[in-house]
Amino acid sequence: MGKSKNIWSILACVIIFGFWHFFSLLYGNNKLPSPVSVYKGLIEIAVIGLPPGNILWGHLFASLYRVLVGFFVASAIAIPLGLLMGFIEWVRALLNPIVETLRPIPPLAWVPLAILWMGIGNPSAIFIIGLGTFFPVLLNTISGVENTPETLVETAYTLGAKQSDVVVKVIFPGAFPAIFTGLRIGLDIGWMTLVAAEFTGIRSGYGLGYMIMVARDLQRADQIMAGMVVIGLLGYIFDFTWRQLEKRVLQWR
Amino acid sequence: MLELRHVSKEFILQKGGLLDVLNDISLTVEDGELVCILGPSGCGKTTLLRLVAGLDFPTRGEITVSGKKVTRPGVDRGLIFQDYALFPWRTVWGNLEFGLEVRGVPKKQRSALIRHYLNLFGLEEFTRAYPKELSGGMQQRVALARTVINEPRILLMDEPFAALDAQTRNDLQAFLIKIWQQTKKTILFVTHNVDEAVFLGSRIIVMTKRPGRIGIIRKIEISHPRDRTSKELILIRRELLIFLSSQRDKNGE
Repeated sequence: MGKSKNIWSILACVIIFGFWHFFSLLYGNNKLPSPVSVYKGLIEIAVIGLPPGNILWGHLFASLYRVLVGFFVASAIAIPLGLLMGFIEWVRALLNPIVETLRPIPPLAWVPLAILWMGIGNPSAIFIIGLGTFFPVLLNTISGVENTPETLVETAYTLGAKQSDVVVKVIFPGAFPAIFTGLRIGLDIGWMTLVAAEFTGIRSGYGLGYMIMVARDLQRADQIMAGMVVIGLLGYIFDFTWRQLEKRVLQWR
Repeated sequence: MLELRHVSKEFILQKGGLLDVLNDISLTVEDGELVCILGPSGCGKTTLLRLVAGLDFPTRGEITVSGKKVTRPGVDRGLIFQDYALFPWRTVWGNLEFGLEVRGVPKKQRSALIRHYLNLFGLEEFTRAYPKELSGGMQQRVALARTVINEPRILLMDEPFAALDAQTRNDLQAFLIKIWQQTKKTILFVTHNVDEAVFLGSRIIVMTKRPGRIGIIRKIEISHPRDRTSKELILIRRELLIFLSSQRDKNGE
């Protein structure tokens, strides 16, 4: 079963690369670079750098740093806030209109304001990424709390729990599977917001988004696509790691 | 001693108006008694139990335990739900530990107590299992152990065996009698099952249709273990069934 699944995956890859190569011949290598050109472009970034001197690892770590800081800060605010909003009715009544108004605003729309407040650089980019992470984590935490069975809370009280015990030992673990899902989606969206945040929030130095922008200025489609491939692969690695983690942490489910 | 004096409960309906659930209930339960509350569905017997647990409050009248008025949940009154309400993220051990943990029992003492109760409830081989890995009957044993380890004066049981198959239910009824005789707890046992009430109760309170009042009180002085098929039990069963069906006729159901 597992083996035949692998064969199908490999076959699908071969077919996709085949089509890619075919269309690249059709439209010209400068518009749609072939897989081989993209690979060569990637190697060039890794060895020489883009712009020369700023090599791939620097871009990678700069982006990872921004995404992870944004992710952690946003989660550290969103989880406690979500627990409170889910558990205490008046807190939710108070904050819900604000949350529901801010939530539909795309993180990108915050860019001008972020730059006005924090200038161009890391804080702006991290802020934008954090916004992408914040709402999925918040909403999932709230719904996780709401879906924790009332009987568990009542049982805890009859067993002698104080309200703080209930929050820490019942509400939080009860909501944890939903929080976990929220974190995964939040990391995904934060990662997706990265490029946009770096397009506008970063003017020089390092970052995958910044790297793609430089490639655009140089009309290097192969290196633009190389940047996209790196972002896609890293997103895939995130998701894979997350699933492995989930199997371990949520084995009680 | 548990005392209810002229307890009434009304719920405010969302569409307006009041729903009379309990009407002028007065009842005294002596220490060590096993009182079954039997009644048609919707007669307010669960509400009655929640009032004693302190999870809800009477509209009129008052409830006292050993002379102290009930105003909130407390460890002196342990509650058992029909759906077990085990913490799914805790192992059997962890579930038993919850009450001890929130009450601040030192760790060493906890282990000794947990071992003792695992043994008493026949749960040793499931120590490290998560609730989802256990059968319904085993889960209810864990829930019972989790409550009894907390040393409540009174056990409040809300149709605890209603979701189990007949054989398991019989086993657990016999098991409950054993625990009751060993620990000499006061038990208030809510059920809609006449056989169950007659098999367990030293006294049976049969309630009327909503708004629930006390219909008949029947003492059973047959010692345990009782024979479900004995003539005396059959006669009592018939008496109670006749009363219950009269409750149905009155309301045209």
